[in-house]
Amino acid sequence: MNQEHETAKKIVGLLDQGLTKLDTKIIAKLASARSQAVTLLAWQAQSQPVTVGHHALMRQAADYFHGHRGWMSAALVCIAILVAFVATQQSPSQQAVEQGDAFLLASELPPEAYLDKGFDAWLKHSSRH
Amino acid sequence: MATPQELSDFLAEVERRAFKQTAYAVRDDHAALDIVQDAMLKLAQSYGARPVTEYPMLFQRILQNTMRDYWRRQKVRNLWTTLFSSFTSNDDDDEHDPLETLASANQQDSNEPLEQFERSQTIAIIEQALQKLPARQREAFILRYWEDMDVAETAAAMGCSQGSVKTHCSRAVHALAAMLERQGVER
Repeated sequence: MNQEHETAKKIVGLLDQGLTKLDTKIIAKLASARSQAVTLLAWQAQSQPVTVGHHALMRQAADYFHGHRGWMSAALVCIAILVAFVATQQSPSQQAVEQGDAFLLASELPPEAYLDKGFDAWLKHSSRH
Repeated sequence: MATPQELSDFLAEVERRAFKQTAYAVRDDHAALDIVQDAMLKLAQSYGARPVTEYPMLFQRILQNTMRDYWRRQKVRNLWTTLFSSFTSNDDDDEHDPLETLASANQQDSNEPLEQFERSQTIAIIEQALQKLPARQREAFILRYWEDMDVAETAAAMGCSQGSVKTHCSRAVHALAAMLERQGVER
């Protein structure tokens, strides 16, 4: 194991020596890439208060949800049931049915009169006179 | 959060090794430069808020992922190339002749002292041997010994177990030593 480590270190030592002989063009391009990365970081640091604050808040929220997965799942199911109940209660068809019932109950005529086919003819005939 | 100066210092320290490491893997200096540049920008863009102590590991992960992206793109490109053309490039580096590299190194360094020349020959042989290693062994060797990461850090950077790292490293060292011996290089 020690010999293995020593061999590896000797190889790495030679590889390090090889780094000093890199082509100047490659060194220049690497320096240019580094400069771009540093400029990018400096630019991001200027807009730090907004972005970092936003990211930190998101991360905290994510951590909180992750830590309370059980409770959060139950709460989500309850909320979904509640929303479904409210949605069905407030649907247009339900409102129409309620309005129809209210109209019939508040009407002067009994509901059976609307089902009687002869009543409509009688009403037209009597209104002409 | 790391300052721009800290990032600059970190990148200056690792950039040459990162370039060589990538060049061993992709066997193309231009592609290696692009990959290292991408990795540097990704580090600054996505992990600028992290402390500088986390940079070595993060940079290695980004570098490995960027290399994988490169290989995927190459795979797709090769697929289309084979579909639409029967002409293949003769620049395939799989058939490297060590003697050719040694000969060119000989020409370049002909004016330098013998000792320096012998060393550059040895470095060239090692670099060729590294290129011939299986990708995971090379990755483990470079991270563990060249980047000086411990076994746990190497495992985390490679996304494998510590046992695998030890196995890869051991095999890599033995393979390199055997290749050097075959080339007549004293260990």
